[in-house]
Amino acid sequence: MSKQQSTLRKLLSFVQSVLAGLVGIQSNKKREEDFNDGGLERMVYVGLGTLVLFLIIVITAVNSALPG
Amino acid sequence: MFFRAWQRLSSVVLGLALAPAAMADWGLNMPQGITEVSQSIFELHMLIFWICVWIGVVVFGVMFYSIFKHRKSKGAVASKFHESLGLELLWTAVPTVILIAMAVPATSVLIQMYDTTNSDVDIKITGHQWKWQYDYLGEDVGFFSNLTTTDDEIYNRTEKGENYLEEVDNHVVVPTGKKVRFLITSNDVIHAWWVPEIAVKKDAIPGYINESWAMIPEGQEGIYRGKCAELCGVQHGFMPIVLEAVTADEYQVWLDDQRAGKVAEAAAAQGDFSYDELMVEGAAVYARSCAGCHGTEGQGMGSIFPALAGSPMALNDMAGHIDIVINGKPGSAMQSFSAQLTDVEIAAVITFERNAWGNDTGETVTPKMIIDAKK
Repeated sequence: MSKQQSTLRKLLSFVQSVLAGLVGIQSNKKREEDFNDGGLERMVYVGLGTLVLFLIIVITAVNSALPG
Repeated sequence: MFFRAWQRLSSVVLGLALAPAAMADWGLNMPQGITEVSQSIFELHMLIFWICVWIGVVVFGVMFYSIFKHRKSKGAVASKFHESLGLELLWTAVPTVILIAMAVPATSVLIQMYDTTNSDVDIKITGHQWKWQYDYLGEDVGFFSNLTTTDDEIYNRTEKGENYLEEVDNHVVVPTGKKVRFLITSNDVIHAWWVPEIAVKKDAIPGYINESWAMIPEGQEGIYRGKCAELCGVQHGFMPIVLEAVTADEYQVWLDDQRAGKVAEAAAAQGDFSYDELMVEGAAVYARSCAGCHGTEGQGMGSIFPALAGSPMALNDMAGHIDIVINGKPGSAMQSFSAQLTDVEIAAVITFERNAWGNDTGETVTPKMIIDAKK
């Protein structure tokens, strides 16, 4: 597995962990992996990105629902 | 056997689901109302109600079935596991989908309810302890709406009328087929203007204006009754709302009558009134506007509402008496009656208070004295 593929896989894993955090569902195994892998900084970045995405979705939904 | 009983129960539930109107007629449900918005609210209410019923049926059904099927006497042994990702996803996803399914129609109705733009008639509604004031913005028409149920009915000295505690002297008149915007506020404490048939229920908050609207369809002319829906003091139950829907033509005639009446009142205030005329009028005004606090015999009520019978002000201080009725007393429950009563009514009620219940001052207060005091 190339280094690039490995980074992408890790990133996807972080995204999955953050999404799991949003709905409050995470397996024990995955949780332990997240803690053991380190990468707190990356996790925070992904978390912040997801938060911004969530806000954009809410604002868009409200604006599309309101008339005018 | 179990299946047949379940089938029968489902039929009953389904029958009820298909007959919301029948439930409304039964009197336990909320009224459907007469406006498009009230119908939308009713339909939303029924939708949410049946979603909740089915959730209840499914959840309790599964629960009771599990309790019965896996009972201890049958040798059931509890399975022990720590996590189940699939199950956890399911019980998160299903409520999410249900909530979104409820939020979509709810948002649509809310947007409809809050759209107060492009109104044809604007009415400012002010709550007072314990009456409503209506001002038709831009029409130079405004009045107070007072309860007309007599004390004799309230205290069981006579038979209660058909619209006991639900009739007022001045109805709030609105045209059908027109969008009427209500601007709701309060002069003292928090009230709430509520007319169920048009699905309007808004808090009246001092220093704040809430908006709502209604469009009563043509052909739905009639009387619609409501009440204050926020506990606002000792006579909270004595400030009903009577909304009269008339055709657009009748509404114009009514507006003209109101304006003409105002001119006539101003002219009448310049006329001369005898002591007897003022006493008769004053007794009626007192019963309507003052007796609620100061008592039917001027005896007062506790330490908050002072007695007028034998009161030093009613006996000796005419200027003070006129001033307190016109301007009220800041920091007390005594409100200003300057806008609530006409000059003739104020003169009459002060004359009455200075001569009733043994006060017997023999003094007459004329409308001209009230006009001068207001300057």
